[in-house]
Amino acid sequence: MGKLELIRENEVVSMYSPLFSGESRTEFHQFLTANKSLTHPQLKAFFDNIVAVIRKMDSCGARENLFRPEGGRVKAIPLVISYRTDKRIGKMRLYCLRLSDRLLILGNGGVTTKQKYQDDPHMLKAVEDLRQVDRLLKKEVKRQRADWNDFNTIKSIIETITI
Amino acid sequence: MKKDALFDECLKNVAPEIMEEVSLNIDIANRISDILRAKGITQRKFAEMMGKRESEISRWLKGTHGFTTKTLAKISAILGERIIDIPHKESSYVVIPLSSYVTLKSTAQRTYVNMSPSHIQANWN
Repeated sequence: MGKLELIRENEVVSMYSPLFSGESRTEFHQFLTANKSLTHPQLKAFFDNIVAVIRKMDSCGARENLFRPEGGRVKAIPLVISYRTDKRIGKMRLYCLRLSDRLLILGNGGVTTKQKYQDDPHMLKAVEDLRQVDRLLKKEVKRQRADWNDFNTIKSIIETITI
Repeated sequence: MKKDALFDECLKNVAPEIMEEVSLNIDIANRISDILRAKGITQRKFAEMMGKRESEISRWLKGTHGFTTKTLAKISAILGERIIDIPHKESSYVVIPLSSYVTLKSTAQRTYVNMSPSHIQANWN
């Protein structure tokens, strides 16, 4: 049975990642492992960007204005650095589920040359996995009649839910 | 407080200039976003005020836009709030390379000394 594993946390933001049944690593760890050693300067820069943005959220939180919308609460970490992109090499995407400024679920992603995630099977899976997590969370919050603004209750649901 | 070893390992390898650029771009985006919220200005209204498309404003607020000082100045003027404030050094703080200060016994190569320029001039010899 899968769960949402706590990855990083401080007084500003708590970040989780899905650990699906049968997997040994969370989706976020899979993303880091697959992309941390890419040597092409463009991909290294994009990876660094994503890591730096996550780090920055330690101080400013998972503010809504900082995310690239991908439909509903599924978002992508934006590429905020100035870089002359070679489209043949591709961009890098990390998808996440933003629940609030204080609660973020980091998913998977990677290098893609497609404009839309729907056209890339790996990106599509990353997004759909998060949508599934979102559906399960919504169902449980509704079942418990919880308030999405109640940080402690939502945190408790995240940490006990089976995915 | 919880950290993650794998993430921290990746963080250590982030190029310093990228770390700075990300931090700066996000700080600017958040600053503009906060001002808009405080003043009750929607993105659409702000776009009209700036003579821009709403999609461009959206990029500004994500931190994905590299601003020129000209644009930052225009935003500041239109919103009536400074976006970036650069601290000015106090005139009493002067950086003195220690090799120029032959009477001092310290072995440090460089030091910040809290002295006014006139005091330094009086004591230079």
